[in-house]
Amino acid sequence: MTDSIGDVSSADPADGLRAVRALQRLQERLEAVHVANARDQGWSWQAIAEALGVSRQAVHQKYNRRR
Amino acid sequence: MFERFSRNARVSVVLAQEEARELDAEEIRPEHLLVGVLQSAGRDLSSVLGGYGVTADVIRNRLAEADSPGDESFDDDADALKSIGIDLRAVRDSVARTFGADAFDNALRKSGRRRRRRGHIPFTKPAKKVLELSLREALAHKDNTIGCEHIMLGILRGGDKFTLGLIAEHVGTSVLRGAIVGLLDKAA
Repeated sequence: MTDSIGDVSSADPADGLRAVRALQRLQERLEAVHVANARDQGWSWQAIAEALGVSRQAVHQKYNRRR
Repeated sequence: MFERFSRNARVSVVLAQEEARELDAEEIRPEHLLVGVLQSAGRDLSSVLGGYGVTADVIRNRLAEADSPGDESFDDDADALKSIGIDLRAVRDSVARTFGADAFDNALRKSGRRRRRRGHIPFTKPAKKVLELSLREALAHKDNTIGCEHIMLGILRGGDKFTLGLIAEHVGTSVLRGAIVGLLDKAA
């Protein structure tokens, strides 16, 4: 499955950048899933922000739709 | 500038905003204005557009198609991530096991992420240009109010490639332009 792992040092910028963009999308999805889960389990925005290493406002603005 | 818009034209702008919202778009683009006009056009304009097969339903379906590249981009991303040693399918399966089958696909939707635009959605530059051009079309035809016809001409003149492409699937843009100008001349 990971036989092409050597491509991580691919010299073609197109390959590298495409992978980075895909990684960003994956990161956004995973973040959304886990923030939602944390809220379901009663975590405060403050606690979530600390766990993510960002400001409370940043998390709150991004994810809270009830205001 | 909206004070010069006719009732239908105002409605079309409101509906364009609704369409953008429904498609989860961040901004109101010319194609949303097109849908708004198609939904609010008076009888004469509707019958001209409908005669060419340009209807709100047809365009909305095309926009919905264009807007759901979901699986396609998943496959692309899976390929790209494989090259750096990440198995996207495995990640998705693991999320599905813990949080439910759709959790991964719906992650960005369900969380309410980027849902701040409940109120006002901004116009893109090309959409603003369409509205400005519609004013200019009204002036050029010596019409006091800006109607759906003028917005339609603004869309055609605005030259947004994607939107013109949607129209050109049914009718040549210069043919359509001629037909709408004919309507305006008849009304004058």
